[in-house]
Amino acid sequence: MTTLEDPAAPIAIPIRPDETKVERHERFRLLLRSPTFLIGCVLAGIWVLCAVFGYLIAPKDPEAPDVLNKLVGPSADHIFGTDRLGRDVLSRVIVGARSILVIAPLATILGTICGTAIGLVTGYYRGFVDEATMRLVDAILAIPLIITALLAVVALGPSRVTLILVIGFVFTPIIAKTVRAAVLGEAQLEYVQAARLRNEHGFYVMFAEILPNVTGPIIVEFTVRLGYAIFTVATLSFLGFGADPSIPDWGQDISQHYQFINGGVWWAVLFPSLAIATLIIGINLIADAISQVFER
Amino acid sequence: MARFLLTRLGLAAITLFLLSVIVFFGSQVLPGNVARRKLGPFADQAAVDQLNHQLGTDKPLYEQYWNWISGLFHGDLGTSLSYNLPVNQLIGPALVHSLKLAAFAFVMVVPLAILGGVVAALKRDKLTDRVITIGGLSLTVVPEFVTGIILILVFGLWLDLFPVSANAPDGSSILTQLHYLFLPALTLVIVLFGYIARITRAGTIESLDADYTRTAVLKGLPRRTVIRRHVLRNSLLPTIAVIATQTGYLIGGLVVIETLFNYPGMGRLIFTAAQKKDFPLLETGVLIVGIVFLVATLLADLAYSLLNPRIRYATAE
Repeated sequence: MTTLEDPAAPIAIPIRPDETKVERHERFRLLLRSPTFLIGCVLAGIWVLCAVFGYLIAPKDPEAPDVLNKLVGPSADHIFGTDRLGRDVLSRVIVGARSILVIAPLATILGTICGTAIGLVTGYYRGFVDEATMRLVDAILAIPLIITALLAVVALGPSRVTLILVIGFVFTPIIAKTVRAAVLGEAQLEYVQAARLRNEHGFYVMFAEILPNVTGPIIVEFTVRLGYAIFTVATLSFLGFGADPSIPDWGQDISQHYQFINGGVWWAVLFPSLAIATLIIGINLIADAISQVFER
Repeated sequence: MARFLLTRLGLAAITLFLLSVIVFFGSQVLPGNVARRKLGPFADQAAVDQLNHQLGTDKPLYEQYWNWISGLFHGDLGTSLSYNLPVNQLIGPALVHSLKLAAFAFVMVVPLAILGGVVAALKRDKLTDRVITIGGLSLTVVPEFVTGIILILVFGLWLDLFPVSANAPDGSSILTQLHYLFLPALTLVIVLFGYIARITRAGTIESLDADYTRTAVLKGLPRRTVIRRHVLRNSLLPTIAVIATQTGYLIGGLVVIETLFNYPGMGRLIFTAAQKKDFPLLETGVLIVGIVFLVATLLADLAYSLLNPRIRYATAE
């Protein structure tokens, strides 16, 4: 990391691999000692397990309707009650983790890869491309994320791929901005100048020299964005622009049962709501802990 | 100062231009054939061509963009496809409704969040601090519709204190209107609290650690005076900037909150437009949201530089 580099030192001392390893180990140890991180891992971990094993651990078939037991409150048979078609709410909450935990990480990975590439190039070469990209970032940031996503999903038609592409596309400039800022700082350091003097190719300098030294901000940005991605996917599916109406999905289940609240049916909306809340809080606690460890 | 203003205005103008291009492409180019969409898949090709000609959608893109943008400058925001009304007639009242809701939320959240942030900073790393920061962060990241639904369940259904719909009956007094607006405003407050409190906390901690604070303490000023005159004065500066950047986020949140509480504001108008594929209404709505955001950040930058001479002189050089 950059902490080992002293900009005032006359000669750049390359970091030996074992030192980096020690530092990585130290960072990991700090993370494991952070209660924020551990609570976040437990909360998010539960939902990851549900997403992976979904149908195997669900007590009932989440898609089997039961017309005789519609909107029945929580009981021994249905711990979280049943929904408007008589489906078991608990099973739907368990299985519903999958759809969101597939779309959000894929979108974030897409955004991180594209954003990192753009951030490296604009931060390293500066100049016109840099200026133009940053103005574009400002323009995209001027529209709230959810409205940009709404616009794009309406224009392209809702589907799983659209959601991933749209969220990835919106994240790209935001991540690019963060990476660019980190690269600007790195590009001043001696090891970059040394690589330049060795006449290394620009791509080599960017991807082999600078990239390994800016992984910290990239990891932090990735976890923060992951939280936003889950937020966006959940909100879009609540608004009726989700991936697929036939797959159990928290946001969609909430929007379909919202009208029954006045009739006293609280279980069909409360439990999926709590599921979304705990997952997002979990991811953000992890992000918070990671950023504290990396920024110390 | 004049130069600083000009630079900021110039940058805002460029951003606005790019924004309009993005919105134009998002709502007029991506969806494909306008007339085909309007007439349906079974319409005669000749009729489609004729309507496209009539609407001007068969012209080259730059010409379409020019027509759209010059219409905007002449106050012609187009006609809504789903309401069959001029777009500006729809947007005016919606904007007023949203402003009411947002103003109510801001009046509650700003003092509350600043207080929370300052308290957290003064009790740094103690339990109070952890509760405020972690609690605030957790509340901020939960989607508005989840927060809103839990508030509706608790205050609307179980405690029966506040109405679930945000629409007060026509002609009701200000107090009744605020009573109806309380739950949606509280949702916004919860979402915004953590963010503003976090920035206030960071700013306060920075000025608590600063040399001038140490000097003030060492020369024997009472703690209260140090905090009020030396710490807060410097720490609230970044908070102002952050509150302004939250306007964009605020409007995004309004889409969900207004839909949830069935409140006829800007957010719900944009959502309805999206649902009905009413592109003229959608694109103008999004553009206006962007303009509101840019103006708010511009004003915040100005306020920030007026209050902070260091920035003003740095850019003037």
